[in-house]
Amino acid sequence: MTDIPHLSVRNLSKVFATDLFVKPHTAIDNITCFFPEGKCIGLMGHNGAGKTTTIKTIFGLLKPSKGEILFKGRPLQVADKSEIGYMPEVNKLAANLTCKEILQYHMKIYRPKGVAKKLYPDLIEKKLREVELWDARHKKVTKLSKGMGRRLSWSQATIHNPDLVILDEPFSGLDPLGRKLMSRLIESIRQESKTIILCTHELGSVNQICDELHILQQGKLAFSTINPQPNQLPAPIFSYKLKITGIDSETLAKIQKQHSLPDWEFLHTEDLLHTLGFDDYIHGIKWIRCLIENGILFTEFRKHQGFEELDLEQYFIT
Amino acid sequence: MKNFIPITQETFVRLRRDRIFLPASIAGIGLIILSAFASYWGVEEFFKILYDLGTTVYHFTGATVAIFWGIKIIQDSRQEGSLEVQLASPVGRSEWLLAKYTGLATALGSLAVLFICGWQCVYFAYGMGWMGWNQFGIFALLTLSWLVVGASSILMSIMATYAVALFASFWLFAVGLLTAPLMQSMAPDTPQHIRQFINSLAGLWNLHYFNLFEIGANQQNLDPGMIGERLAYATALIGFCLGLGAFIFRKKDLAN
Repeated sequence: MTDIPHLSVRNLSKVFATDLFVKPHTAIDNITCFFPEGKCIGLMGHNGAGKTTTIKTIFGLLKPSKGEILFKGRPLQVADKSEIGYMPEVNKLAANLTCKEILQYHMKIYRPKGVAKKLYPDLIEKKLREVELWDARHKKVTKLSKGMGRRLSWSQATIHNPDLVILDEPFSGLDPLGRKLMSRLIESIRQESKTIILCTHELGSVNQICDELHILQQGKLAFSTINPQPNQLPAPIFSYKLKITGIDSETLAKIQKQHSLPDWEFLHTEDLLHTLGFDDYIHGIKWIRCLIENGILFTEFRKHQGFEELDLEQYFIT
Repeated sequence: MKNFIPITQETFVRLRRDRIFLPASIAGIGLIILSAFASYWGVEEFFKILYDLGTTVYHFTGATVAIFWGIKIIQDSRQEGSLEVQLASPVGRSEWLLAKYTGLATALGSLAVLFICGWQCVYFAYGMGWMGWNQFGIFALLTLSWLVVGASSILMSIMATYAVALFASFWLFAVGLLTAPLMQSMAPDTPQHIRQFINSLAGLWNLHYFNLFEIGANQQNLDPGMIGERLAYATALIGFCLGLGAFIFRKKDLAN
């Protein structure tokens, strides 16, 4: 193991500007993250947070608008992809080929180092048995169930024994048994000290499997941590405080009622100085507009930041 | 270019299993046999009718299949997402495109072999024995036009969606067939600039150029120079379509 990360993403941005008349959309914005060798790194985020775009940009399927992708410290080349395995978020398999033919094709493309060609059939058989698809080896992809397709996608991503495996939503569409098998398979390559990048919404898996975690939010890297533990994720809390002076509590309540102003999150009153707290900036602005219109004095409107510790699920929802 | 052969093989297998293959083979051979019947009824101009109809059937059927397959191999990979998986493997985009085209050419080649076998059956049926090199050459040159149409369809399917690519490819095929007859049938008083435009269009994109049915109808010999010219023309067109296609493909975002 070296100090150089297995894969580095530096200042990566992707802007989609598909149409002259449509405003460009920034899918990922200046992301920098490192994927150390032999670790399992979770990449999390809501739908549309930019996880899949990041992965597609890593593989060169999308051209980055800015930034670079380094593989073992140097720019990622086409030939380097032979050391990477990719399982896409949905089954993306050639429709009229059989399970066996798909793996045969992949073996011919990847040509794993140190494996003689005559051993390919044995490897394919081993892989298909591992994912319980040996009996379906002559079935065409179109005849497979979604779960079988996921397992075939797994085989396709790992048959060449890659050092780095990128799994995009490996659990999606799997029944409990399928999830169990998938968890076991991921755990097995984790035991082999492979680098794994796991994009998932399965919070339980992230807690169990991942050594590190990156959370994306609206295309930006919102948060990164090492050894994510339940109940230890600091979530930023933003609040806006408005200080009003010169009126008593009754007048304050009257003004709110009269102008249908938003409720405050907290209120602290000391003599004629009221400190109102809002979690929404717009609420504060509505109050300020009303105060100005009515000639009431306010002395301060400020954003405050604090942290609270949340578990992964709460964090994800927040 | 180490991955060229597996991708070509994969494309060939997929096209061979494609639903169009069998109907196209049966329809093509059936139409060739029908044109043979038609020529038998017009006894005096037997070879003229045989070659006129036969080569047209061969040309149209093959080119239509070339358009469908040329679009299918790119668009299907894109829609089912296998393109994404294949290009996430150590395969360059240009290499992938070229290998796909070679797979298409191989599948069209096997269709051509079936059609030529059908033509040979017609020869046997009329007691004319084995086809000569001249007859074989006529069909080989027509097959070249399929390959040109296939390359143009691939170019279209890289640039556009399924329906647009299909429409554009058929339109291009029709233009390619019409330019030369249009050029020859222009009235003497046609304005000079229109004449020049049609002439240059026919010089650039003329699929009729590959159809040498007169040679077969008049039982003449194929001139090696004639073959060379058509070979060079086809190579230039295929090279242009695939070169431009590869250039665009390299620049494109590939996400569905």
